Amino acid sequence: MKFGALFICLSIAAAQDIHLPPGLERLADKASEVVDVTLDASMLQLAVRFLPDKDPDSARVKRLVNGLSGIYVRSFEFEKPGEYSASDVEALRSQARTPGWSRIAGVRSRKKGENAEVFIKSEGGKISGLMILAAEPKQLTFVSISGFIRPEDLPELGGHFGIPKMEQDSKSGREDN
Amino acid sequence: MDDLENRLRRALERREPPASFRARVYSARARRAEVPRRRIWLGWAAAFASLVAVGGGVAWQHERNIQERAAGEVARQKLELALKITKTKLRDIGRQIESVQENN
Amino acid sequence: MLTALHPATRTFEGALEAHEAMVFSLAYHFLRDASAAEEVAQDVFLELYRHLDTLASDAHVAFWLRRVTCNRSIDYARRRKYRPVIALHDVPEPCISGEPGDLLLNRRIQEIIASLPEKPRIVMVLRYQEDLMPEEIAEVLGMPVRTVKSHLQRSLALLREKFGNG
Repeated sequence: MKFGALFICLSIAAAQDIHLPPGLERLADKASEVVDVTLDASMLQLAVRFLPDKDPDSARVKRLVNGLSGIYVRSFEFEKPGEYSASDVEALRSQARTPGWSRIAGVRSRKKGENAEVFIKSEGGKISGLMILAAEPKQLTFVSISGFIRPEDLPELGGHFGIPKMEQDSKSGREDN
Repeated sequence: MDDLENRLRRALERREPPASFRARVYSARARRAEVPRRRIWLGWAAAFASLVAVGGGVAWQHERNIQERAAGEVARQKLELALKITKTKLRDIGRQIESVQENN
Repeated sequence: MLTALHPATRTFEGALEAHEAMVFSLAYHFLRDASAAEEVAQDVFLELYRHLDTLASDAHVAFWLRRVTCNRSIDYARRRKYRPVIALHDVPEPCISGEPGDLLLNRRIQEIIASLPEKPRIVMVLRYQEDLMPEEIAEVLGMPVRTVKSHLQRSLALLREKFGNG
């Protein structure tokens, strides 16, 4: 089955109850750069009102955001490796251990010490959330998008990001060693 | 005052909220305050001349617009940043998957 | 008394600027969750916006904010069935380096505070974040001074036991 088929006829935007692990805030103290974005539904609606009207990209972003109920991004960049622990990553990953979530892609490079995973939340065959966890030696990034994502809006989230191939990967748990 | 109490003070010292906090409060205020504010203005309008009410209404609307615009700009920038990070990460992951598949 | 007022806090914007760190930190140290603390703090300031006209002085605004933040934080924890992130018996014995500002030690202390029941926890936060005296804490929380003192003594004894010092 093509992965893209999963995105057909999505109609709800079920809100995720994101509770970031408290330990995450501690990482901010160690990080040299921190990105902290929390946009709930009302902030998203406010944001799209201030996108430029005549920009074609704006129209696509508006369409995408229209179905979303929240976007949360936490990204920490460190001066040196080893500033975050496996338990920090696990605490973030545990957000996707709740019912409805499944891991659709994962890449790992032992050489580079990188590990990235993509999760989606589906309810009744509909996608109601997307989560990305990317751990690199000096950077840890967590993205959680809650709400309804239509297939035609996927390019706004980074093209199709190799979706047809991702299905294969999700089965094999592919690793790049 | 002993050492433990000093340590407690350091551990519990105040910290700043996220940079977006103030904008979020203003935005929420602009949304939620609309109804009570209108009631207040209606009361004034009943008590004073319509000119005062209109003048006050315009000033209030102006202030609200400024605050909302500031909050909206902050929200827009955050949205763009969030989407940029999401795109970058998903593209990186997609490329890595493609690269592995090509090698196989 | 109008002459004693801090002019900046006579407006909502001034009060927000002056007190946002205090309100956010009270909620954060109590809930140990920045997102939740932000939510509570936002609600508190919206409430302030509705009540600002009734508050006569800067001190009154600060007192009101502390009281409402404490109540809202406790309500939030109860509503969401928040549990302490780490149970007290799970908190490892810390190794005290003696270095001021030691991040690890701060975190251990925060974890122990987070594991306290809600009343002693909020008392400790008011005492050591806000540097309030027991009498002031009693006023903010609406509890007897002797209860505040009792919470402080027990919590400090627990911390001393945990840290193995004096």
